[in-house]
Amino acid sequence: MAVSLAGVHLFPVRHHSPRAALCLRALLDEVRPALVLIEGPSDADALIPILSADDTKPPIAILAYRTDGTPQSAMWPFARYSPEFQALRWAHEHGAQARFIDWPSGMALAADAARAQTDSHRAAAASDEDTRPIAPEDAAPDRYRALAERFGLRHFDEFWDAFFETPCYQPASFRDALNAYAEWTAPAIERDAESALRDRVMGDAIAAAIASGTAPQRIVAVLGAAHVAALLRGDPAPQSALPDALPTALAVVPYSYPRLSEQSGYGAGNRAPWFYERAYEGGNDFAHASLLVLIEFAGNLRARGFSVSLADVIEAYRLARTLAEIRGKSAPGVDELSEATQATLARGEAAPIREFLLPLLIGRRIGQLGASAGRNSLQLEFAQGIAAYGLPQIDEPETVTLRLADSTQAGASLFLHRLRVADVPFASYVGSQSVLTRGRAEDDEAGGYGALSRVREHWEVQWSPATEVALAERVIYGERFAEVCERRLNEAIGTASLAADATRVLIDAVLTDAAQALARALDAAERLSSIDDDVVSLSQAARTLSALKSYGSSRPTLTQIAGTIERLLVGTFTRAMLRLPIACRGDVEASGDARSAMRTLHELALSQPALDRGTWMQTLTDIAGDEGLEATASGVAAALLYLARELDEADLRGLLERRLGDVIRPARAADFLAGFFQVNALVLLKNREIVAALSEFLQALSAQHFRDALPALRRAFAVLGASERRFLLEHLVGLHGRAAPAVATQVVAAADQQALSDLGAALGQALDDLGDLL
Amino acid sequence: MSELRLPAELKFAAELAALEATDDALRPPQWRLSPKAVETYVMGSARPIGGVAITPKYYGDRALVQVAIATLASDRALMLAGEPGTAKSWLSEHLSAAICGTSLLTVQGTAGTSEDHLKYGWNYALLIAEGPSERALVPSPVMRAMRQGKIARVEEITRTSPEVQDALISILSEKQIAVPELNETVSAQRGFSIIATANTRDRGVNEMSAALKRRFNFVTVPVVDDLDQEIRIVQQREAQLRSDYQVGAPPPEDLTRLLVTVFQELRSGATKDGKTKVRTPNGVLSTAEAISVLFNSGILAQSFGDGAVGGVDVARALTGALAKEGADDLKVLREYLETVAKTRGGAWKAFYAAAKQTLA
Repeated sequence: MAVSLAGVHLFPVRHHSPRAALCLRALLDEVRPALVLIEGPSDADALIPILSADDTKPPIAILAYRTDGTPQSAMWPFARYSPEFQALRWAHEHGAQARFIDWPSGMALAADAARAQTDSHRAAAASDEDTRPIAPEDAAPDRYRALAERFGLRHFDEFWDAFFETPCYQPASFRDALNAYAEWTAPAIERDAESALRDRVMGDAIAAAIASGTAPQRIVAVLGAAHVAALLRGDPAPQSALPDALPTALAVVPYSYPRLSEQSGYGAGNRAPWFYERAYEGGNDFAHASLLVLIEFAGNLRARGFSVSLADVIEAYRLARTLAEIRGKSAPGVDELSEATQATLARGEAAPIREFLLPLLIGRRIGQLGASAGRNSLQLEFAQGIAAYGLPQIDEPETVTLRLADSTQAGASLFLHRLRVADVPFASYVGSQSVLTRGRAEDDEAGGYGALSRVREHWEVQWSPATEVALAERVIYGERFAEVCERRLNEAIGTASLAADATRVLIDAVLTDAAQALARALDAAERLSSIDDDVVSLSQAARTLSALKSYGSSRPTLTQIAGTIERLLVGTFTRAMLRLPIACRGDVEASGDARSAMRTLHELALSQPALDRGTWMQTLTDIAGDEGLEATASGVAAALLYLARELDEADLRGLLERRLGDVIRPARAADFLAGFFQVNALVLLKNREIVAALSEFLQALSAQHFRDALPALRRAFAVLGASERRFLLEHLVGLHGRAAPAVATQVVAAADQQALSDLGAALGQALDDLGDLL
Repeated sequence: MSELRLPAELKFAAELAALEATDDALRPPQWRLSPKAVETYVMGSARPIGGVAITPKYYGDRALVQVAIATLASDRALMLAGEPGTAKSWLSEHLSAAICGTSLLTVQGTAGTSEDHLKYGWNYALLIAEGPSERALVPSPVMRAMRQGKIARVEEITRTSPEVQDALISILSEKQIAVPELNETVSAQRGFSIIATANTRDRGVNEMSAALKRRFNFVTVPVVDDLDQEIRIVQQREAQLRSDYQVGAPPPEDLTRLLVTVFQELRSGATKDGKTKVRTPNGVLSTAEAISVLFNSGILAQSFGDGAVGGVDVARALTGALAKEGADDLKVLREYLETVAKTRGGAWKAFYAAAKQTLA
């Protein structure tokens, strides 16, 4: 360190430590500095008035996000008991100047990005959560754990509470203790280049403050303990250069206690923010805070219908204090509180602690920004929307049900769909049905083809700091959500390569009332559907268009383009129909998509009068009869025809006999059967003619062929449920009289017992199953 | 010494005396040791204290033992709840030995336990000859503990009927037992408390009343799921049994590990690597059961085998233990042998072969 920092009050802290905050305030009152320098991004100085305003309520965070289009951001959270926050408040209350002196946010993000690239482990950590740990020392959690275990404690948080949080300290003694601790742990921790660089940046900033005329004695610098230790040691300046700063923008956003508790490790957060806040407010009296928590917890339990006596509360409090005493701590912490509560109020059960006590200790608080905080237009629109539609703003999931017949609730639906399309993490669509009667997920997506026919929507709503991050970042797309949606949907149209992609955008455009995107999506759908060869995509597009045509009359934007949609629907359907037989080639797996497309198109052909039903049925008839196509697909087509009454029973029996009569290639016959059952096995098996054909086919098989067909047969029969099996059995008994069970045994006996035993136990089991089934 | 089994306070008399001599921390009234020293006695100490090595008596969560001790230092009674065979009684014995110097004031809860067992009974010959008198009164262990300011142990409290259990309510809240026949009241001296144990598998059989539950602090003693920890427990306790009974051969380390692995895997329903699912037997596969299986295999080896414990002996003892709950559990073992044991090498090979033969 070239410049002397002698005389400057260097105050070491742990971020989010009530004890550090208290001692720091006492020190500030004593020193009465003119300048308070704080570890934090130096380009965030402009936010200091907002951070320290009287009407700003922590937890809050400084948010920095990249403005060059790459999504990356970082947060510096503050709780009420964060020493940095109290330093800002003190400066604000006493007219002192406060300044951040860490490297600017652009460099912090650049360092994050570089780390994410070089280290795949850390890449996962950096990208899944938008908050970066303030202290890079978090990389070594095992060392901190080892430190705790040296003192017979279970983890680092317990060590910290026992040695720094609960004992009484004066500012000077706390500073000495924390410096000693940092010095003592320093040899064990290899400081990475990044921390050393930041040491230099902050040391230089303090020196610059002295150089510009403030007396060192009138400066208090609030830094992480490791940085203070490095400055006091006078570590040599690192060789590496500072990273190039990325372009960033900064904002103050609300933060939440649940998020703060998720950040673990030395620097990043703590496990019980609400408990710590209580302690801080009471002058770090953890015993008193424990009592408050216990009383509130007892109240919670009573509200949930448990009987809780005051004697139990008193006992829990006493037990927590005795435990702290046995462990040589001066006051109970989170561990003592949990253990004492489990032994008393919870009667030894762990679940109430996990379910009720720990969430209580974490708290649900969400920060609030004061009036002076500049908010971007999206943040304002978001706040207005939340208020207008009475949506919950809490950091835990809550289900909201909207009835779309009501115009206000329809407005809320529009709002939530816009947030969804704008990719703001706040509400996720759960379904249109209640939990119990929910159907297949694929049929009920937020922007799926069924969206327009809904009368009700269920959403799961959860505000989190990530919501605020997204609101801040999305402004580059537009000033209003409507604009953001238009832009994002336009982007989606640009990348659409299939007709289904374009029609999906079409639905989203309708749901978010995006007129320009709607027009462009329609053009795209028209263009793509004429070149698309994928039957699945075409069938999905046709389904979506059909939904738009059927339910579009309720949306004024759609009535004008009803003609275009109908033309598009007919075109897409026809193209899908023509491609279908080609898609039904190949093996069972390859035809899977074609089969689902076939069923989708069949539904449309039956329900949309605009479509050519006759040609469709002819297509199906061709597929059902064409031996060159994949047999399962033919089976599906046959079953659809029969169910649509396009095929009478005699025709069907003829078709079945022809397809199943293929005793030379029984596997293909079994595939046909599998496809046939996939559609609606119950209706099919209720028909005795069909069962008779089946029975004849099975009996005609030779032992060798039966063995060959067995896997496919098992697959075909596996889709049958209990009631379907009952019909099958009833008809078999009807056909063969009482001899039916004997027939079943005969089938097995015919398959050459001697050869079977060679096939091994597994196949024997399979045959048993089939015997049971018949 | 010809006693089959000595109570903890005699067996570890040297350790307790050394702790007492060096213990200068504050002791609750009537306590023989300070809470910290009790903890050291139960959990063991790395360094000898007063020249005596303090062996660990309980392997497991230190916090649990601390909660138990802190409870006994108050006017609450202590309830140790847990699955059978999780060393609840063992812990209760050592706690009372360390705190008040005796672990013998014990009432065993059974379906036949009556209020007399918890309060007092009479010597009927004297009662008829002299009428009610102090001499004719037979105090229960609980009453004796009250008079002496010591700890009474009530084992398996959930085995007794709720009516009898409730006799403890007035004892715990008023710390008195009235003897109307003598027009007297026996009051508890300082230091009196109760350690009860309850079996969570008995839940619902004789559910304790809410009023009684309120008088206890509950400590749940968990099933040990750490392999090395359970191996240590099994080894230590088996060695102790062997020296108590003067019978049996010492099992080799790899067989102990094998046996404890079998127990843990059957208990949890999955292999240690989590890759294979196994069925769990109906019988309780406690640590205590593992100790007994290992001890039995030592006896089998010594008496009927070649003197050294091998896979055969362990397999036979294990089959015997599992046969208790009926043929179903043997089927579970057979499945386990085929799906898990068969695929493993080392000591498992001999064990698999022997167990297959035993089960056949």
